[in-house]
Amino acid sequence: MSGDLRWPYSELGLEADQPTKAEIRRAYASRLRQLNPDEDPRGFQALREAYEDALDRVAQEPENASTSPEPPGPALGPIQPEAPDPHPEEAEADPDTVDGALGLPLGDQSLIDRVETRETGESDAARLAKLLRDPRMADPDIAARVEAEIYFYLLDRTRPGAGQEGRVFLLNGPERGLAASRIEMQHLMKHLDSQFGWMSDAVRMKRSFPDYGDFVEAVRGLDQTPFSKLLHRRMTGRVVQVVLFMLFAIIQLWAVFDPTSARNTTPVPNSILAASKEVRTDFDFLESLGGPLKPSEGTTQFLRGLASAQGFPSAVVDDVKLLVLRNTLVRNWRGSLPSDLFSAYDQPAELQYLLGVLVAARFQMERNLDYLAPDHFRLVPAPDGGMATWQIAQVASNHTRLWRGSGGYVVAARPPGPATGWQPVYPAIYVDRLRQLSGNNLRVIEGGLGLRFRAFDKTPRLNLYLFDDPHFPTVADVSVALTGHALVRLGLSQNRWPVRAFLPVNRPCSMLTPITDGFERKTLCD
Amino acid sequence: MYFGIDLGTTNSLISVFENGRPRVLGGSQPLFPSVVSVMDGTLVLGAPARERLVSHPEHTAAAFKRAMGTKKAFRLGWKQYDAQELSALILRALRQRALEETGVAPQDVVVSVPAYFNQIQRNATRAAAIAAGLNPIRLVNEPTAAAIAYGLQDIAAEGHTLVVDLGGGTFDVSIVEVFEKVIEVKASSGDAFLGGEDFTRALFNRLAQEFDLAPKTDAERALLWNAAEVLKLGLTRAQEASCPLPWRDGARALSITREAFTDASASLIQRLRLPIERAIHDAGLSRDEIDRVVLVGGATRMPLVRTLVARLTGKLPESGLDPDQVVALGAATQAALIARDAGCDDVVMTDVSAFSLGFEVARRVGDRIEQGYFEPVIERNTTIPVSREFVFQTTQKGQREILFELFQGEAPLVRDNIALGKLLVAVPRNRADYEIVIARLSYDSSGLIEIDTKVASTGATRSIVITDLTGGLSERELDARRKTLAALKVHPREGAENVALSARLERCFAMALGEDRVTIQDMLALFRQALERQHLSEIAALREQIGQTLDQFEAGYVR
Repeated sequence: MSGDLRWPYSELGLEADQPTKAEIRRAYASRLRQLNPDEDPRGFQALREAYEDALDRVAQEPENASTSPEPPGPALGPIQPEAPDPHPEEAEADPDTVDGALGLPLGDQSLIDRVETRETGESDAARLAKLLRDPRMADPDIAARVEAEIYFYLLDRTRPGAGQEGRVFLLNGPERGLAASRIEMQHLMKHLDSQFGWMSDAVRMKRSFPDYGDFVEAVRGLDQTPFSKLLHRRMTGRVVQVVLFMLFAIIQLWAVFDPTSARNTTPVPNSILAASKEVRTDFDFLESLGGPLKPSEGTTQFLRGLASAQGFPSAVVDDVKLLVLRNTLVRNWRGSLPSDLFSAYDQPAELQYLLGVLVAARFQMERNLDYLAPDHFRLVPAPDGGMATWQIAQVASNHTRLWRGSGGYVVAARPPGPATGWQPVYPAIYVDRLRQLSGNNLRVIEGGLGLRFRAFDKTPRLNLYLFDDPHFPTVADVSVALTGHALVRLGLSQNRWPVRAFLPVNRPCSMLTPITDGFERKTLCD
Repeated sequence: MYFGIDLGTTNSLISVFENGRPRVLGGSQPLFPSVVSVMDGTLVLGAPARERLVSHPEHTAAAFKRAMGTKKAFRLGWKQYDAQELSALILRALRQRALEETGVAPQDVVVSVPAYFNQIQRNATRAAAIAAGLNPIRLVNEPTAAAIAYGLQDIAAEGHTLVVDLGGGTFDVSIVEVFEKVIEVKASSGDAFLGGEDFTRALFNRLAQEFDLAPKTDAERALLWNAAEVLKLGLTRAQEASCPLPWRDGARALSITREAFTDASASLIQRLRLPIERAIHDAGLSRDEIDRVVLVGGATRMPLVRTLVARLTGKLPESGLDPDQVVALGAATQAALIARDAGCDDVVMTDVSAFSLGFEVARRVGDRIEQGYFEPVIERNTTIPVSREFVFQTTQKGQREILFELFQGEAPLVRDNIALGKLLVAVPRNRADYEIVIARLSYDSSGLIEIDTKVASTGATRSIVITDLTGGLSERELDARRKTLAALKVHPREGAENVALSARLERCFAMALGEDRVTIQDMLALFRQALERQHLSEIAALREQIGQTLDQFEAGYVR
């Protein structure tokens, strides 16, 4: 995205302001015929980027959205009081009975439950392997849900690396661990790989599940024998042991002091363009929001350009903050701008979020959202006590990191102190929306949200389920293991924008489906 | 005139695009079996070689496409050949066929490869084409070629098509969308080691087990394999198939039902599912958004494949164009599209790379740095040509260089992916902070990969182009190969029919029992004598007669 304000339409040769999908396609096809991708790969790439971006934008338009199986229903009213389900516990139901809302035969809910429930003396690996062979797994929907359940079940039972060791599975040990040996786990991983491609499809895994990198580390840990064990096994005499240990220590020291050792030349990925001075300036600006610093020249020009393209009065153009707000909102919500939306962005958190978003756009950062360690969450109750949001400390004093997933941007923040994790920050506007639509029945919302709702444009693939599950710990207990357990129940295992919402205890369940600029409540689950 | 070649595991074809349409060459027998045999010091290719698979297994090689890119040696009599050489022989024969039929010796050709062939396998294919005296201007993905053939036929029909291509040795799945005369491949997936041959093997194993057969010699293996093949084909027509099998300890009556075959192929069927599901997922579609399902490749004739595909997609799969020929037709069309021939009527096509490309990176694990992780920079199913940037930093302060090692594949650890090349980039020695290098990875439609790096702090750049498009062979080596191949003695076509018939007689003899066996033995003797007398008209007449008798025999072989 250069200074061209009419991008991507200019690249496609489109005059229309809000072209339809058909118009975009026609323009792309015609440009493609004029261009030869073999002879002009850069030209083709530029065309392709513009094309994909234009399609992204149009996907949000209600009248131009790709065909959804069901037309959007009426706007939501308050939640009707429903009779609570007389059988809240999942029993072995007749497999032919279908739960309309979840779309799952009720009997298969038990497959998911069986991931967690261990009989005494039963090996976890054996139990899971058996589950994988269940004939019901032939159904792709069921398989997807069980897969997610197993993933999170296993991930939960790892502990982070310490010292020389990386992340490992907790085996044959404490309560929270897995009742399985290393060999059994290796076999199970092979089975999971052949069934789902867990160790042969990194791209899908990264998109579908959080902390995949950690998971791979733990799987790798299954293959490695701890060095000390190795040492002990091969050593015959204590003297030899000592000598070898000393040798080992010398080698390690040597490696530390020799920076050219080839072992360490492999790079570490860095998703922030920190080297660029310009970016540094912008980051400093973000951090000191409200203070004297200004964004970089490039960013200022960029934002000004956006502002004037939107016809923003010149008096306000110089106030970067305001024009950022204005432009973001206009970009996000086409059509008229409700005046009170502005006020929602008074909070430093939101502002920082938006600025971060625009800076990310400016530098076109492209990294998938990495879901973060749950133990860096902090629950902040709303002033009226009805709802809480996950946040990290005071945003003003945090560093922020910016990500772009496909189709949106997320800002994450890091708590002060020697923290290691990043936490996506939710804009209040989204939280408010959900709260409004659920009639204040929301308890907790946590996760990351992109600026553009691209992940929501295929409605069958993403639904929000709000319901109470008796297995979930209550919100007040912050040591809630925020696992994909909820994600699975919410049918979001394939989604890269994890969103979870909990209802207070003993509330009926309802399903919210995102439509262009909000949510539509559809059916009731039990 | 544009030429396209389908270099298949079981059969190969050559086709030509002229006057706005593609057509296969080879008259009534366009399929050229990808089999090479050696007979009295000369090479026999195609149909005659195929007949010799049963009678002379240690002198015949088939399904070598599966070994492309490897150094596996195929023993033919006293000599050894690798997969590239054998493929080159087939390609040369196809070239000859084109010359004879059209009067034009093909130079520039488009050769098809499975979408799921990796860079090394593709390079081997290019090398084989060059050794055959051809110029492979493009390698087209097989399902894309099929999509082009179908697409061109009905370019006005817009929508999403799922192409399921199960050949003799490879399995490819592609999702293609057609709109505004653009054929756009959205996703490709597959299994480069799954094909009709594997189903034959499953049946082979099941028969050996059920009928208590333990083949000890190459000849016995070949015979049982042949039985498995004919039974497999028989099951396409009926629920049950049976055939006799002469065996060392007494004849058997082999029989198999569709259910038993499906049961024996259970793990293969599972392997068919995954790429289909993955392609649909990668294309960002749901099952219902697929408008059309098309079957390509002879192995899709198996009812169990059709049933599986129908079940997975909820649609009745089509095979309106001959599944054996459609890839060749598409390859020739692709050649015409590249040249922007007027006969293509403004149709344009874009494809994707089926594999992710990326670098090896390290992770902070505990207190140390652990290498071996794969960081994809160009994710699979990105439309090509494509160029993507990624930012890397040093693992230690004061580090002097970064090694960029390029890998292709989907696994999270580089040890399970394919190494394609490396680039060492020097960085300034910075004891205070980490150094950052921005790497740009570009991949174009001819398979060329380029890495451009820039050190952020100094602006220093370094580039490398992974031009190893011919599997590590230099220009001179390729030329030498070409000459060697050209010098090999190939049995002249005039005698090929007789070779084929003799071999066919020997094969049927091995298959037959009792009276049939005696009859075939007599015919074999008769034919040999006629060949000695060398009266061409007599030989031709006998060929006709024997051919018909053998046709009857083979038709009634499987019940």
